[in-house]
Amino acid sequence: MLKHLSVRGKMIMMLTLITVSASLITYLVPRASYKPIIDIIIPRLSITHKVDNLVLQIQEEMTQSIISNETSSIGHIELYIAELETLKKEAAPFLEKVDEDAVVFQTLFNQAEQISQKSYAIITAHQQTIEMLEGMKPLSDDARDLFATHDVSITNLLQEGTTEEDIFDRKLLQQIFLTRQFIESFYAVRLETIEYIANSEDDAFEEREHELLKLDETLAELESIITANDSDFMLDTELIANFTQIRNRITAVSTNTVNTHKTTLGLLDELELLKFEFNKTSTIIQDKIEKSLGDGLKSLAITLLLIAIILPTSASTIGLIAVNKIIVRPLEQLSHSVQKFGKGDMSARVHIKSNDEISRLGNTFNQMAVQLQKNFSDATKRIDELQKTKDRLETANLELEQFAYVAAHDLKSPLRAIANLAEWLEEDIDDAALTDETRRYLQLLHARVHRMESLIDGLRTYSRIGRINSNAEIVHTEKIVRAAVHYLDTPEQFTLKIPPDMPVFNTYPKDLEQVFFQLISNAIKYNHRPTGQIEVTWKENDDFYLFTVSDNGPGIEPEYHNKVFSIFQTLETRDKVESVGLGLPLVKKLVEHHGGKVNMESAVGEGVTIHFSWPK
Amino acid sequence: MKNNTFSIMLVDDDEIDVMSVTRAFKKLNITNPLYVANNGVDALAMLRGESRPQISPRIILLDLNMPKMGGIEFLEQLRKDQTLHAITVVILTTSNEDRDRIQAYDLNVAGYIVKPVTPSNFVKAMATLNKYWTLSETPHD
Repeated sequence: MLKHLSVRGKMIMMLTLITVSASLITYLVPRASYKPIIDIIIPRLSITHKVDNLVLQIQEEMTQSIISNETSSIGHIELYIAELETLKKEAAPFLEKVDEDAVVFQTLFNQAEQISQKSYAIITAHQQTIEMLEGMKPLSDDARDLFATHDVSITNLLQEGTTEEDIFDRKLLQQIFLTRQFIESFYAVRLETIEYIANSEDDAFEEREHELLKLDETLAELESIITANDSDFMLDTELIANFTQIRNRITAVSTNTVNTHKTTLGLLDELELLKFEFNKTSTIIQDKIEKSLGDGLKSLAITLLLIAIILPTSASTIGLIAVNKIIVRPLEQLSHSVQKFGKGDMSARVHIKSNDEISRLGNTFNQMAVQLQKNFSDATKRIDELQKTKDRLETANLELEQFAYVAAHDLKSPLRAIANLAEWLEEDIDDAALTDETRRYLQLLHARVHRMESLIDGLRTYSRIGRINSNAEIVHTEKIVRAAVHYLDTPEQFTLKIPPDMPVFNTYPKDLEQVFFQLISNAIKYNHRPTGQIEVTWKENDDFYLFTVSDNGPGIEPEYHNKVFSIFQTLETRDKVESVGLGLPLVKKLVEHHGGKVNMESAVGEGVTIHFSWPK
Repeated sequence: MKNNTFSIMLVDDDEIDVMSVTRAFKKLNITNPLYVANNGVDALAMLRGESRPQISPRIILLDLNMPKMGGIEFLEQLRKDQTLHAITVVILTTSNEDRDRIQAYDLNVAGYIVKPVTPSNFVKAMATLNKYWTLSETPHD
């Protein structure tokens, strides 16, 4: 098969083999070379993606929890952790696999677990902070009560008057000031703590420390006032104890909160680090997998290339008998059938029993062959029909020519006989016996006989165009025109205007002569002036000479311009001008037979110009 | 002027065509004996003496379209015939076909005349023909 193929044929063969081989991968490539891809690499890739996704969800949940103080987040994180556990169980067979990828894979899981646990811890801590801040609420209520007491005290003081005891007033105002300060500091501590937790800003942290100190200072001042106080002083030790309790709690809560938050921040940093490591691991795994896939595909490509090279050269010597059977022979059969079909054997079909790509190719070829065979037979039928039509037309043409010939002889003989007999009658009858009327009848008889002869001659000439093939030769168009003018016995008063450079070219002289003859004949015959004028002009384009023949005759009305090209159509009654209506139809048929065109330009009183083109 | 008593043979199937010839002869005072055959077969029979009288014309006026044997076929037979092949033949026909002319001249005709339609023109043609054959020298007579 391959010996008698051209180089190009071999190349096509090679390409076909590579293509076909690619689709036959499952037959030809050792399963071992792609098994790890299916068995290990792909599951690992899939699990890595799942873990990756899970870690991402945990992160989102945690962020959401810190921003919106959602208590449900802990439950969600627990669910994610459980999911990670399930994934780990699923991944167990691929984790146990002893290869370098397994270590990375294991790391991935470890990191994911750490992340989820840290996230869990952060959320838990955050929840506690929230709870503690919640715990500060009752204290605020206490403070509000305190403010109310103060208000009462101030009102009482105002009722009792301000002028009597200045010291008392001063002390009272100091008490009020300090109490307000304490409360303000308390709120400040609370505010800064919340601020710090929300924004983790160092400024807020320092402010909080500062306010805590102020709180202590205020409290100490209040204590000193109370201890130095007289018995009627309104702030008692119980109240101071209350203040102290408040101070202790706010300090504890704030510090606790801040510490927890700091832990959270630390954890978040750690988490960030872990996430970074995790992403790295994930990337490594994906790269490794992609590389493994790439290697797998490369080994496939190499195998295929080997097949492509080995097959055409020495299938048998290398011993790829199986390959030979699976690919080469069906391809040979396919190639053989295609060649047979190409050489015109429309019945050529492929018979491949197997159920693979080659047989599918074969089936496609068979379908195509059936369709082509059908189309071909349709086309053949149509060609046969056309041939029959052509034969019929040729027969009809031949019959027409035969008819013209027969018409010329058989119609003209009786015609001539009539003419002869009429004349003999005229000769033989005594002149005395002939009246003027009978003489006129005899003249008319002759005239009609003559017209019939012209009709018959014209018909024959017309039907002959295109049947008789004369030889092309060099034609001097000026000579043709002058010969026609001469032959037509043109009246002496007529003038012919013809350019001095009329073309000389190779064409069919008889046909062109006939055209000029008919046109000049018309120009003379229908001219009503004694001093007729005939003008011939010419120009040319790439393919044609464009001639015109004009006269200064009466012209033709536009509505008759098409009519005059129809056979046996005359505009004047035949008695007036002896015409059979063949001139222009003959010109039209001759010009069109040679591939040219003819048309008329005329108006009444302006003569007639006939344009016609004649091929170079 | 030469002795013009040689005989002329007309081969034509059309009675009126024959009449035109005889009338033209009469009009032109052509006195040569005129024998008429209606087709090639009859003409050959007369020339070969297969029918009475046997004739030896110097000139044959031959029509082309005739029943039984047409003019061209008759000419072919004549030119093959050892004794008759040299006879002068002038075609007198209605056929204006080039094909007929070519075939006729291939068979050595002395002239090809398309029968004029009107009797006067026919007489003119006969007159010219008469002048021609009275001037022509022939091997015998």
